[in-house]
Amino acid sequence: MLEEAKARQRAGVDVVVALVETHGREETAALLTTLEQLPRRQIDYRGQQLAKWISTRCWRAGPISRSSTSFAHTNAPGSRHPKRWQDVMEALDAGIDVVTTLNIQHIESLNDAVAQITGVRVQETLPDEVLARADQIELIDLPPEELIQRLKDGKGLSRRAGRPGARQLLHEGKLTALREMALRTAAGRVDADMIGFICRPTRSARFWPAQERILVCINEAPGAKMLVRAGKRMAERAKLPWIVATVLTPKHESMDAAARLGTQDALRLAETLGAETATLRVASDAAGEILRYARQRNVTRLIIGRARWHGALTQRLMALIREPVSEKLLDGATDFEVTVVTPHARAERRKLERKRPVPHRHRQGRGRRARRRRARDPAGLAHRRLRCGSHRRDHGHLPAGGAADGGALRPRRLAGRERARLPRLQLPLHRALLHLGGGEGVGSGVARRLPARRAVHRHARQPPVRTGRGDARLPSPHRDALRVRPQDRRGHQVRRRPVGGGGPHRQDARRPCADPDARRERQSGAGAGWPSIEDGLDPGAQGAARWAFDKAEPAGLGTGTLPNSAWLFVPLATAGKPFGVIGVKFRDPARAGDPDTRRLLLAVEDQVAVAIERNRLSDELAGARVAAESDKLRAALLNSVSHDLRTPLVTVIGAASALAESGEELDPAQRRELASAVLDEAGRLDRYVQNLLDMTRLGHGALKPKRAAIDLREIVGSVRSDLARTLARHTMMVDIPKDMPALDVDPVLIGQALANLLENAAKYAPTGTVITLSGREDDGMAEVAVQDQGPGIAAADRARIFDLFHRAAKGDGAPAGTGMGLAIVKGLVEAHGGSVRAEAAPDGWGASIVMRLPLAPARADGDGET
Amino acid sequence: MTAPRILIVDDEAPIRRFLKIALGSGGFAVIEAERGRQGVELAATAAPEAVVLDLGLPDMDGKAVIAAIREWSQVPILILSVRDGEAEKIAALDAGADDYVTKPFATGELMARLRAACGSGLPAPPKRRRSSSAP
Repeated sequence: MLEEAKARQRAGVDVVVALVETHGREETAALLTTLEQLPRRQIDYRGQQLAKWISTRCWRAGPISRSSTSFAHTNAPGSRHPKRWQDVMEALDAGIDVVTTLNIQHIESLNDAVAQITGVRVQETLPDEVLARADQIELIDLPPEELIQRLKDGKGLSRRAGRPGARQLLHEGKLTALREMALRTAAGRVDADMIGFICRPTRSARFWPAQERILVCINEAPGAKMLVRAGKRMAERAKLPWIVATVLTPKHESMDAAARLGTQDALRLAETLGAETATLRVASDAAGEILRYARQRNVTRLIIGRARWHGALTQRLMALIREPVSEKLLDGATDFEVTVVTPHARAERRKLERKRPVPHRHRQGRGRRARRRRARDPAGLAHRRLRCGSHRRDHGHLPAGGAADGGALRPRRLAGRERARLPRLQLPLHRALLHLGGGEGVGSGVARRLPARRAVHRHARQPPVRTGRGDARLPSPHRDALRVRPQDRRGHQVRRRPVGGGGPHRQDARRPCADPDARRERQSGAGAGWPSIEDGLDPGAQGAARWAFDKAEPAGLGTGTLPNSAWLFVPLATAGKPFGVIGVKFRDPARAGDPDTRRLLLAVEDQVAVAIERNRLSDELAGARVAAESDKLRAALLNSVSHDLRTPLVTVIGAASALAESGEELDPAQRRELASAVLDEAGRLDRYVQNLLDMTRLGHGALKPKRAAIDLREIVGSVRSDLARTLARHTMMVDIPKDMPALDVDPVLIGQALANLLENAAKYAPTGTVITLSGREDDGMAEVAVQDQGPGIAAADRARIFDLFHRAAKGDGAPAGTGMGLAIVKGLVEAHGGSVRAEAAPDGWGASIVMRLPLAPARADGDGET
Repeated sequence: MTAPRILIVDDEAPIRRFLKIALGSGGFAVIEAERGRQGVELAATAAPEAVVLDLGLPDMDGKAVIAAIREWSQVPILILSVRDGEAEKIAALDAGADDYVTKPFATGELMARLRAACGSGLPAPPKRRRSSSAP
């Protein structure tokens, strides 16, 4: 690896050594002399001097290559990430190429198989997804003699050679099996690369036929992780998407925390291995729920574990009392391919082979159900398959990874086959050299796909929260916390507050407060205004908040990023980039890992995010509506100005041109006629303009009536003389009782309103018909009505005719008018505290517009005032 | 020779009023119609030499009026409209109109176009038409 680094350095790449464990070898140290090394912070850890990788400085250094060893290892406590590979992921995201090494036994999905072969459970594992991001994998394979020689010479593994388990690892047969595993993993990767090259995009969901899926059903029983790993291998080989689901029934609530955590751990493992996970909740019928979900998700293969009870007697009793879920599933899953994996089969297989020549299954009881089972499964296979199809061939393809198929896990068989093929190769050293690329090419392609996978996970988690059943499923204190009350909406509104740190996102770091303490504080009124959380945040917590915001994934306590922080931060996002984070500080930090708490937090996050998103969308919608409305008004106004205001101008220009061009040939009477036409139409134009101005003043509330006690007949007389020519083609009738009380109105404004009504009537009613203006007292108000014998107003239009620019007839076929007349009448009348309505004329022919106007106080009072 | 009759179909009374005076001074006799249907009837019964038609009428569309007249008559039809879009002009002319004048307009131009539409034997243009435009 170091030679590779030097080769790159010679090629002009900026290479930095992040961490190299020289194991005290001079040969290695010599290679390091020309390479720049990051400063090593010495931390005393378990009595050893471990170099801590100061990743922050490194990944800010810019696009460079860097080398690192022991990819899967755990970082020293207090580091930014618990695992070294997480540092590498961060470096990749920052655009740094990373060259590193990895031992085959550290790959997560091979964990069971490695434990099976070597008898040692490797604790330091690397998620397969990380391996999948490698641009290039180079297999380091040594002849066995050379490996032995190296070990004897004290090269490689020297320090660990003394550890318990290391001796077991170096057993000849085991090394052979591990070697095959390494070869096959590398070969499988080459195969995947080739497929990827042929049909891109490689590992995305689109590559997998969407109609087939694998569903792994796990529960609290031990062996859930094993089922997950089996599912991973099966999905990988069959190139199918896979889901890991667990069913929670009410009895789970009473279950002890350890059992529940086991399920949660298995689900987390499944996510790490690239599965979609789901938690189903049902009152009683777990098997039915699984089958329903499986059908809903187009699952074709089910992987289930067999329920086992410890002890032969318990086994029999339990089989008598109730049918295990796995049995119910087998009964119901007639349309699925089902693989039943017996938990502990791996660990117990050898024992079984030695001590129990009779397959375990035959000891499962003599009850009715047991007999049924035997009838269904005469061959007594520990792994029951229905319609297994080509599945077995798949297993044969990669035996080392085939934990689902018990036979493939037998080391002796493997070793034997390996010997037959490669008689002289016995002692391998399995080291894979990884090139993990960031920034460009395949690496960035993978990086682009990763968020999509996360989105799938989000999606998988969300339905239980969104279905509305989510509330009911949570314990009651959670339920209260979850409910987003209307009065809380303000509390959820986005606030712009810097999270800390001076990054470019500083101003965008908007966070609603869901901190329980702060919420209590706000509710009690003790903390007026916004609780300034970040003031109390230590740099680690600020870093975690920033991480959660930038990377859209949980960070802090109980997560894989900055777990030493006292806070847990969850990003707030419905789709796309987060718009905030929720920070929670636990009084009891152990609760951060509690699945119920995590579920609650996710539910809160989802609710808050949805509430904020809904607020934002409704604001946007309101804005759009206002914009659309004002666009409509503007268009109507333009139309009104361009068409209706032009109509009087036609007469003005035409008549004036006639006067100018042939005035001498006209007799004086004709000249007067033309001049008065110009005058009338100019007056009409003026009224339109006045209407426009009134409209503006009404719109701004600037129109203040100058009220006075005035006789209606006075106003009518003045309006009639103004409109003499307009009303000339109609017969005007005025019907006002002699004892009509005075109105308390602005005569100019009500005169304008009345003029608009009369002009309207003259416009719509045919020539020669009667226009009636009547006034009467009604219930302390004056009712002034203008009635015509025109076409009338359809009942549906009666409310809308007072809208601005609403006209019963559209286009220039309608009589000229701005469409403002009645709207202005309404505005003017309402400015007086009155109202206006349209109705059919009493005799059913024509329209009637009725204004209700205030009356002046009784005459005696009026006299008293003056 | 009797004055050629011009049928004016326009719902705006002020426009009909000044057109009657202006065309009358130009040697035309004017017949008025306020609605489209009335215009079609007068085009049949009064036998005008030309029709001046507004496109925007309350009771029927101007193009429908053209079509109704064109069913039996080739009388010249001059459109007088505020619609100044090219598409509107093309549609009206394709429907059977002979000429198109947009509002607002000067009476001189309208009368010249009417003379052109009616052909020879029409009143001569006024002798001192342009005298007032000198300064």
